[in-house]
Amino acid sequence: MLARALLLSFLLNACQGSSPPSTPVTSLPTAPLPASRATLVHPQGEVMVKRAAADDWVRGLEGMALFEDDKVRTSGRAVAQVQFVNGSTVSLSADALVGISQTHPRAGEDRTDVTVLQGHVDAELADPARQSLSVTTPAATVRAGREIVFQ
Amino acid sequence: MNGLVPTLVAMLLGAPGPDGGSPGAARELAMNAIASARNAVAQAAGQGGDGGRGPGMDAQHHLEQAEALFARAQYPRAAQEADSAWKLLGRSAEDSTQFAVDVHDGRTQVRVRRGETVKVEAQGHIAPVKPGETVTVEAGRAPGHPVRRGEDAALAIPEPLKPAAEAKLAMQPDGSGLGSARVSWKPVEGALGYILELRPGSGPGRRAKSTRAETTLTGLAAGVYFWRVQAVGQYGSSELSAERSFELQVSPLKLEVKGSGWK
Repeated sequence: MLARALLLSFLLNACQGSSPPSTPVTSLPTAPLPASRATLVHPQGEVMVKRAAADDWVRGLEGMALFEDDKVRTSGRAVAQVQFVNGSTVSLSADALVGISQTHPRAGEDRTDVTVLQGHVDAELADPARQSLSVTTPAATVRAGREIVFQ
Repeated sequence: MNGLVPTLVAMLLGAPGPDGGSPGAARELAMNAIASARNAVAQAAGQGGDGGRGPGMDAQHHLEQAEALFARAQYPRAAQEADSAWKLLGRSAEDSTQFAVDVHDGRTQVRVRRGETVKVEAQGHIAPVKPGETVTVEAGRAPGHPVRRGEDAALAIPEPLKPAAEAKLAMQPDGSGLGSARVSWKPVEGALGYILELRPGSGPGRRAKSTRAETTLTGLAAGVYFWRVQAVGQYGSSELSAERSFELQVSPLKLEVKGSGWK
């Protein structure tokens, strides 16, 4: 009996190693959540959002967080606004398709990238002295605001 | 001047010129201005607006005017009305930079509304676009020359000269029994060509293009005709002139009887 208790105690210690006993067994390391790049605001009509990792389009809702490589689409007479975290906004007219581009700003750069694949958008850069807004289309790249050095 | 010829030819054929300029450019600019106005009006309505009063209602009125003018092909005025709608709803910071981007059929058009100069890059070329200017980029090509929309509206409306209003012209039928008429108008400064619209009293009309302030219309049957003309510039076209009419009348046959030596 005593030998069995000693064996059980030995096995438990071996499993816990040097970890403090208070550490929960279920606390596995998880990847940090990606930071939201923008927010969908004032969607009217049929506004759809496609997540970067998803295959399906879902209805765009007021305040929906948008991440890199997400796409936003307006149909018919729908309109919507994408508000970036730095204050820049891109307003989508009907039948527009835009993507939230991957951005890798360096320290001190406050930059927004959006890709317009189709349709009409109105872009506004709130503070051009300190921010940059880059709009890429199939034919051109439009840069506004603070000078950006691409490497 | 030689460089203008292909541009003019392209414009008169309705295709984009080397700089993206064409009669369709004014239409495209108006379309974009209306799209921005619709955007602003819809966003204002989505944010609660002003309860159907004040600037929101005025902007809606300007937008409807713009759409009506566009439907009548009065593109410069349509763009002005659309801009009025957009300005009424502008609640942005004074120092913001605003521009519109339009992607259609592979072509990108960028119009800077206010703020700082925006750079448009394509195929390794950069075009600085100032507020009030628009640049068009065709797929796979460098940016075109930025244009200011006022340049389109600056084209005066041609003034018809001949034939005089409601003139009756004696027709000299050709072999097929049809005649011709020469029409002219005052040249317009900055115009690279003209488009003349001709319609008979009944039946379908036709269009004629000319690089001079006159043209001769052939193959006309006797009857009443109405005509008007518009000037075409590098970045757009003028509005159509007032309509005039003339009437082609078959001139009486002249019988010339020559004397002969026969007795």
